[in-house]
Amino acid sequence: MSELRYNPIKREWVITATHRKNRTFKPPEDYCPFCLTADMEFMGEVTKDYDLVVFENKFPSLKTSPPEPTVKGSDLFPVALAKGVCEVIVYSPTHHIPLSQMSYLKFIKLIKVWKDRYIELGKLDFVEYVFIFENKGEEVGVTLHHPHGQIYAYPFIPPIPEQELKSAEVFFQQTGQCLFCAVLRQEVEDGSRIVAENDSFVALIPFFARYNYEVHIMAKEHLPSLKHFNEKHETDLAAILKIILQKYDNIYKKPFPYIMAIHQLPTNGTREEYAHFHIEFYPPLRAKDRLKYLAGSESGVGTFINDSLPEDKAKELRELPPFSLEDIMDQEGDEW
Amino acid sequence: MKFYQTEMKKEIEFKEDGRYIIYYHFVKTGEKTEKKKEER
Repeated sequence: MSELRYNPIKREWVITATHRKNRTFKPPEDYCPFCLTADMEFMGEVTKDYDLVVFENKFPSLKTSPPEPTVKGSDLFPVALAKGVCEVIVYSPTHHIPLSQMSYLKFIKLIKVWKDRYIELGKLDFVEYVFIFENKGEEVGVTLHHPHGQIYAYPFIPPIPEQELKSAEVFFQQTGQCLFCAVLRQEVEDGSRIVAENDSFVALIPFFARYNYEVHIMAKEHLPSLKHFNEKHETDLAAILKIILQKYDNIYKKPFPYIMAIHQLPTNGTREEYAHFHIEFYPPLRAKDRLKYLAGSESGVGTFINDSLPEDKAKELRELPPFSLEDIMDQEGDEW
Repeated sequence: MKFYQTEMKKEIEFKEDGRYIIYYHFVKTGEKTEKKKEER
């Protein structure tokens, strides 16, 4: 069962998806559904070799042909079909290598696949927002360890990007400038929260970070979405993303958990002047073996309490290797 | 920095339950090297 229920108090949709409680939960490696399999008795998802592979989620929250809602809505409690698409993107046939340890070329390929899915899903007339993300580590609830990300194509603009776009719209009307470009300019002028930079992107921990090591990767140009990327943007994003993920793993000398969220232009054809491509990371650890819980203040009223200074965490990350793409390429050689 | 020109190929299939799966393959079609900014 799956449906959308509207909360008129918070002005947001909630997806009910009761079938998801039966989804695959931490299977043994021999039964990983994302590993290549020729065993017809064990129905894995992937049966052929590939560089990257994308498929519809077996337990989707949103479907292209959703069932009728289980309840009748009202004016106060609108109900809608959970119409959309949920995809899984598996980065590699190899089970054990996390994204951070994959090659620079793999990152370039991944970004090209992200771009393809953003464009293709965005063409669907019922899709308003394409959200690309990765949950990494059991600390953020990962139930399948084979390295993968996800893509949700929503029939509405979800509340966080909607709030960003509304703020950007107000700022644009007041100043004639993109809010994200202004934030980035101020961060670069200050410099104390910059973690890494290349020709096309800056990685920083923002002035207003809510989490320890909350890196944002922002496009230097006003690029609303992946659709606006040229080949140079793609390769530069691959480079800075790999650098950040490897820096993350070097913090505690172990795989670093995170939620990676890509925010960009809605695909409903509006607000190009306000949307600005960026990636946000939400790391769940506040120390090596301690989780940051979203407790009373965060969950109850939405005010985050960050027990670190963004300036300190940015300095720490800045001083951890790798420092440049050349460092990475030296490790990897030049294999296609 | 080294850049690679690539061609992306997609192979789309459908599973028994109707879900699609897209296999992505990349072929290198060329490469070029850009000098570092400070070398320009």
